[in-house]
Amino acid sequence: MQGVMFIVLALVTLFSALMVITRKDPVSSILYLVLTFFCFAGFYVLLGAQFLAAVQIIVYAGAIAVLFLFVVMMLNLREPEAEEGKELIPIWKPLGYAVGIGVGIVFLSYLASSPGPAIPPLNGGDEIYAMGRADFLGKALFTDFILPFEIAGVLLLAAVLGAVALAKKKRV
Amino acid sequence: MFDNLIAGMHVGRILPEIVLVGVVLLAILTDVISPRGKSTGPVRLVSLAGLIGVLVATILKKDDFGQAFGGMVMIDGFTFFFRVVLTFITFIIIYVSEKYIGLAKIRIAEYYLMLLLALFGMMLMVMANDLLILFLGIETMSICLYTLVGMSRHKASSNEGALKYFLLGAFTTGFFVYGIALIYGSTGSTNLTDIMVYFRTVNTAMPVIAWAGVGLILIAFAFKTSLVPFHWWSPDAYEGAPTTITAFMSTAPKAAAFAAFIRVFYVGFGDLSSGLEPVLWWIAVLTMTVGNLIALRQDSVKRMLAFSSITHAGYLVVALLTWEQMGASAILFYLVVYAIMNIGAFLVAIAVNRDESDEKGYSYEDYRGLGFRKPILAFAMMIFMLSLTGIPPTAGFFGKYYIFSAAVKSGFVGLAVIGVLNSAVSVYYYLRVIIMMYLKERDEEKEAPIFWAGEMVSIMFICVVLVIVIGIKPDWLLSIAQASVSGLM
Repeated sequence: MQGVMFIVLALVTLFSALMVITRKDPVSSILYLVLTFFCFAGFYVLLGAQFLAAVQIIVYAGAIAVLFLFVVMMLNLREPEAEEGKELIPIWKPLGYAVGIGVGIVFLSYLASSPGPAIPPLNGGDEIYAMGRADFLGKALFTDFILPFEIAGVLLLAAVLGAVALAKKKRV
Repeated sequence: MFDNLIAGMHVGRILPEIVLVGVVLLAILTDVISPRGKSTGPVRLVSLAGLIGVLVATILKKDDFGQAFGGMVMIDGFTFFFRVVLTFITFIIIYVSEKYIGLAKIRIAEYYLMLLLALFGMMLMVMANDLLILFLGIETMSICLYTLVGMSRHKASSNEGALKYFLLGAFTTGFFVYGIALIYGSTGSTNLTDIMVYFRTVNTAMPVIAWAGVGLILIAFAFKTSLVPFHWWSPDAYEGAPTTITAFMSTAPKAAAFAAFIRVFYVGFGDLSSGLEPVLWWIAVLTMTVGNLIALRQDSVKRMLAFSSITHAGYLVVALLTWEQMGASAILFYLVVYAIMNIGAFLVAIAVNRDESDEKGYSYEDYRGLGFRKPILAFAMMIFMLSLTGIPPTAGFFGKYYIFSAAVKSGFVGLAVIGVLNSAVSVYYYLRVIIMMYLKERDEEKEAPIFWAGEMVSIMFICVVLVIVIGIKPDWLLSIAQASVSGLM
């Protein structure tokens, strides 16, 4: 079951990552990026790191990608025009191919020469795997680190108030 | 098991901070339910009442000393001292602000909320016994200060100061976190007590990585206390900020940063003192001298006070270098005295300033003939300037006297000499104000009306009285400072 999920996730990840770099429209490129982030979160779940998966979705898929979207929409990028877009700097395209193929060769030869790292068991019971689990982190956050946790809440409140104070319309 | 856990945390020991957060939430609610555009008055009253509550909570917990939250924070005499001082400064700034923020066109409730939250951050800084708590405290304070500096959005100087402060502050955060990471990597803990134990045991063969961590944390502190060469943000931030905020920034956050500086370097890195000495020696010399030399050339009193506050930070580093109880108590004494005279001086500057909407403003020219025009105001300014220079019988004299005598007793004679010479240089720009007020003719055509507010006058009066009283009888304040640091070493 987990093997099937891994393969599906891997295929979707590869597909969406390819779409990120091939789309001409920056907005749809970013939307594919969000999909890629979600797939990463799926991998983390498969590795038993639910908390990391949640953080991945909240921070990357949520905050950072939305930030990208806002910036792209604010900058109002137009689609590259056809007549101008004819090989602005001709050197870049062959260079890109060369680097890509080179890295691919190195990577494949590495795979062929070594058996690769041992794949960890999917639901490993080791301490180190427990560290990434939500219950472990939750326990740490609400016992040893309760004070920093609560202070972080106040810090965020300060940041929100500050942002509102600087951004809202003046009514003086 | 759960009861034991709660009991071991000693939540009651941070009662003042809990009260403060409650006050912040109450103030936010007050802002929301007040009529639109008229919320600053009620929010100010809630804040003032709340700060009295914080003070009461601090005094109630006066005898309940010890660690809390598994050693993350340390409540001792040192914490108590700074809790009281910082709460007082914030109270004074909130008390005098209401009329000024109307003049400066920043009449929004967030002004008070940011001050309260900055106080929360500073309270964490002075009790932090763990680099993690210290980091959160510094960030909470800094975020509030960035906002406060940039509050006059219609002024270019305010935006410039806030942006510079924010960007450099963000870099400093990076330095600080990286320093914490390296310290954690080499000592295995972020707790200052554990770090001290580690450094004591491996003192001779300390890994390079730990030194790098100590260095990065030193840089972060140098930035927060605006020591040369990490001082570039402060004149612009001080000039751009609304003047009440400048008065606040040059006193309370500076005091909190020095308190954390003392705790981290005396407790955590106490055994590294011999290695850090040459670095701090040069920082002290540079900070005193560079701040002075630039202050000489300013045409704006506000900017002059900003640069001179860099110099004053240099004097404090001299005392820090002694690594002894005497030096630490001299710092505490100086911080209180400096807060009193500096707030007083900034209040006079607000009263005299010609036009708040002017980008530059605060010119020396505004003081021309003030001694004949407003004798009492001029007298107050004269007292503050004399005290900042360090001339007896004012409080500033004893502040400097204790610092330099602590330095001499610890063998830093050269440093003390450089400090006294710098004090002599500072006479020039402080006395320039007095000369303007008493020795220059009035120019009635160019005179601008004085900005009066009852609150400002009362605080100015109290500041003058305190400067003179401490200048005549300094022992009581010094003995309080000595008692406060006794538990630290």
